[in-house]
Amino acid sequence: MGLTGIQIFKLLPKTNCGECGVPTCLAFAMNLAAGKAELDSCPYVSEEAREQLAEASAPPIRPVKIGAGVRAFTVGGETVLFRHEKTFYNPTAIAALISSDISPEDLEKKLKVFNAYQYERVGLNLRPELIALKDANGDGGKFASAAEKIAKESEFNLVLMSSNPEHMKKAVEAVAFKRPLLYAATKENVDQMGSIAKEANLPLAVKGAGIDEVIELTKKLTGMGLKDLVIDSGAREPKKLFEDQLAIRRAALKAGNRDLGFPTITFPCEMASNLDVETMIAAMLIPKYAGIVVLSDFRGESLFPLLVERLNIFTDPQRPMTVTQGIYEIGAPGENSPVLVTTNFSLTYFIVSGEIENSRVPSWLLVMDTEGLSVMTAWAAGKFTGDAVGAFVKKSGIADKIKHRKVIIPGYAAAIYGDMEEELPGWEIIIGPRDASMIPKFLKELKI
Amino acid sequence: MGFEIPKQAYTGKIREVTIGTGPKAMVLGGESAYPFHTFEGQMPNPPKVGMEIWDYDPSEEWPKAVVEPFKDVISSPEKWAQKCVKEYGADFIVIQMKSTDPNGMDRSPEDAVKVVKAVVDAVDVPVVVWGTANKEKDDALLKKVAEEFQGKNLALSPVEEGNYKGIGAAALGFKQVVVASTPIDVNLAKQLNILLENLGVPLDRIVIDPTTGGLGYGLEYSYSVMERIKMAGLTQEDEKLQVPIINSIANEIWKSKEAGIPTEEGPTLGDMEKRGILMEVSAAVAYLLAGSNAVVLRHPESVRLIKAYINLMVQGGSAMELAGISKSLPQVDVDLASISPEPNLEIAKEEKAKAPAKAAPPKEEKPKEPPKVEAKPEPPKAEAKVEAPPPPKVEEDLEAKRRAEEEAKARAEEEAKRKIEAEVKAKLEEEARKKAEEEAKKKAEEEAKARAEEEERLAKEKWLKDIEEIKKAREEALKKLPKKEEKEVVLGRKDMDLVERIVEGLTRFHKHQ
Repeated sequence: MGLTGIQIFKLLPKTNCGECGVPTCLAFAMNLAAGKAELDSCPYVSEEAREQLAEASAPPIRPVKIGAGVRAFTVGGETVLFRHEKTFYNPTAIAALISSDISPEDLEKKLKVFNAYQYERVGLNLRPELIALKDANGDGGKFASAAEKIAKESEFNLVLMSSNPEHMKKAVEAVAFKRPLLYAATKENVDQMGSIAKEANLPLAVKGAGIDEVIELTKKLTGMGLKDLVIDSGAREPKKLFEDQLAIRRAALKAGNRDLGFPTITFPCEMASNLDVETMIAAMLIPKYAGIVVLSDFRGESLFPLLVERLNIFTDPQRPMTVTQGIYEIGAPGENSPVLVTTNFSLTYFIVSGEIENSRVPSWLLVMDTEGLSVMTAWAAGKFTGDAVGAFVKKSGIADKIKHRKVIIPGYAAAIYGDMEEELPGWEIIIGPRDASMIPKFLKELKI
Repeated sequence: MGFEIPKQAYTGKIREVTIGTGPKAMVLGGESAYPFHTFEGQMPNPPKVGMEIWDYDPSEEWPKAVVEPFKDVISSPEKWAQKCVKEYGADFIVIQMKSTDPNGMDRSPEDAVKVVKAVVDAVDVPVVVWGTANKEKDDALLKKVAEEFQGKNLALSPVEEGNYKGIGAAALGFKQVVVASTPIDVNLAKQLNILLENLGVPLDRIVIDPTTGGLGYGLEYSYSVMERIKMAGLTQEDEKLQVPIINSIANEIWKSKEAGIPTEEGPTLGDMEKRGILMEVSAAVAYLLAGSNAVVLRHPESVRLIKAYINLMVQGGSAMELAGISKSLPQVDVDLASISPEPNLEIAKEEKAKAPAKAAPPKEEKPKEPPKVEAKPEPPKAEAKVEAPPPPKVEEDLEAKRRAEEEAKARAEEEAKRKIEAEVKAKLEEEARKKAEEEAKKKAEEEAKARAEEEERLAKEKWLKDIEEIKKAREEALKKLPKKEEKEVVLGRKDMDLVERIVEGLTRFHKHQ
């Protein structure tokens, strides 16, 4: 990995044909090295060079696609140790454990309950994506039929957990269409598990007793032609697992270790005796590099904090979080309720809407798209001007919902007052407080 | 030949700061590696766990879960503090001087000091006196506290750019520690430390408060700023940042809406009591991993779990013996199955074809933005949900019809919304274009150049746009004299005291309400 522009240049046709979009092969090579171009843009690159370059430019941690349908996801593909260095790309997937000896009725109920755990936040639907089905009782038929039920009757994707290749094979036949992750190839069964995964073209997890054994296993499997692997280092104590997670990520990113260049799967459910402590351990694993965390169960009080933490950690630090532009109803407002305008930076929205809620005055909140800038920054950048805000109020359709013609603007944007009056003839522009914390007092005293 | 973890080289070490006196005094910092990276460095003083109390009875305002454990003592700060130390093992006490808020009870510094005295006298652990982030009031209050408790080695918080001189001097004169508070920015943190140092406050009497965001309310900003502060101190020889960090987590978690929603009202949020605790615990874990040397918590069960966590991360060992949260409020059962939406079982092949097609156009419209993030979480999923045709597998026609109608409605609404948005956008764009054209005619080149520069500037400062404000504040503070012009280029539209306003705007992070 990490070829320089010159090294790449040597592999290119050097014809300077310009068809890739830049005038020279050297420039193209530089762009490739910087990750700003794709090799496919060059129509004349030789197969041989393509292979070498593909090898060299493959991501240091392989992105592995798991699942199918609306909860399909990718893990791995990460490029940095610290999120501020770029961003973390693929959020940790969250799984709950189900044992295959569960009765079909209980399973059905569980799937229903699990499906209820969905949270709307900043225009995103936060929800867990996986069920880890554990082969119990040595009954392969039950394992396969439970897997089939989960795959066919729920949105959830699957980790098939069995050390028995026969059972695994059966389950794979039933649910391969949903691209489950197979768990796990161990020293004892690596050949069989490897060939099952290869045949069905499915991702496979390896479980080793420590990192050395993991390396042996991934070496062997990549030798067999498998590419989509996931690592379990076997650690079940928080400190040890933390260190393994760091070791694997650093080895892949800093030392170019291909044998460890895969996402990880972790098992808080095997590290604690209750979901509360599992949640605490998972809260460590989300920022510290786990591809998948498997909990013993889904419960709202555990999932919600973890999903929000995951949202926070996997937010791109180079881009502000935004909420969708539009009219937000807070506390069932009516035609005489106040109307407030603010920007679509998510923190701004959260704080303003929270304070409106605190006021217990039902209100309309108009959120204007300012590309994620807060009020004062948006104003300074010319994105929250009187004309723009006025036009937005007009077009938002709020006028159809209210009898009055009054709109409250943030105190920090008081300067747009005049332009807004011009843009919105017949409206009264009210200057609200500067600090959101004063909103409750302001709204309570406001007369519409 | 076994595998070896690639090691990080460290060139610095975090200073040790002592707060309190006597056998229970605590030492923060001292580490020579990233948090809990004991395989490649030292962590001689594991992070400390403090508990916060308020200087008046907050039972009306707090979620039930955090009132319950303290209901016998909550109206007496000193008894409350004692309970935290004796029963729950708090390493230190933070007394939140909420009653001094000029926008609230506005208690006078003289009266407030009496409450502090009762608490300081009642406990043998270190005490942090935390103001309301009102610069003038904190100045008056914390100076008085510094004087009154000479020799107690308290920590005074928050000390900000706007009031560091007075409080810093008092802390220096009466031998207290200061908590230097800046709004989520590495350079501002560094700058305040320098200012304090210039005043005579040595670095080993300073603790950083980088501004603590709540879980889902800014944690990501604080998390990364803290990682960068530790990185600067430990690997980049930035000695002004080799200072321990304190995070006032409790205050942010328990004021969030989600911490107080009753289980019946938010069934998917689960048990209210445990939820608040697990939010506090999850946030504390994240902050500890980012480099916190002292976390401030509220619920006794959070304290127990986090103390156990720190111990596990320092000593190693299994977490199997660690008990779950013991509830003191009754369990509420909710029927989640009945509110569970119908699953969307589509595994459409066309979805794959569609998604990139949808993701592509915005890429062309806004070439500057990496499409990755945009395309990843939002459009495909939402699309799949809204546009999924009624699954033919469902036998009951009625059900299918109802859903089809619902979906059609949703789609129509979505469509209408999009239309409005598009219209607004179109109009805005058109206006912008017109304006630009006119302007271009007048002073084409000059203007274009200025605009390009401004755009580049904005693009460069993408990392949290709010930080942009702060950066400007920093620039201004750093270059108060020389660079007047630059300020005018960017902020030429206003002539008010920007620093004041920015910092004030950001104090909302500190404030309870």
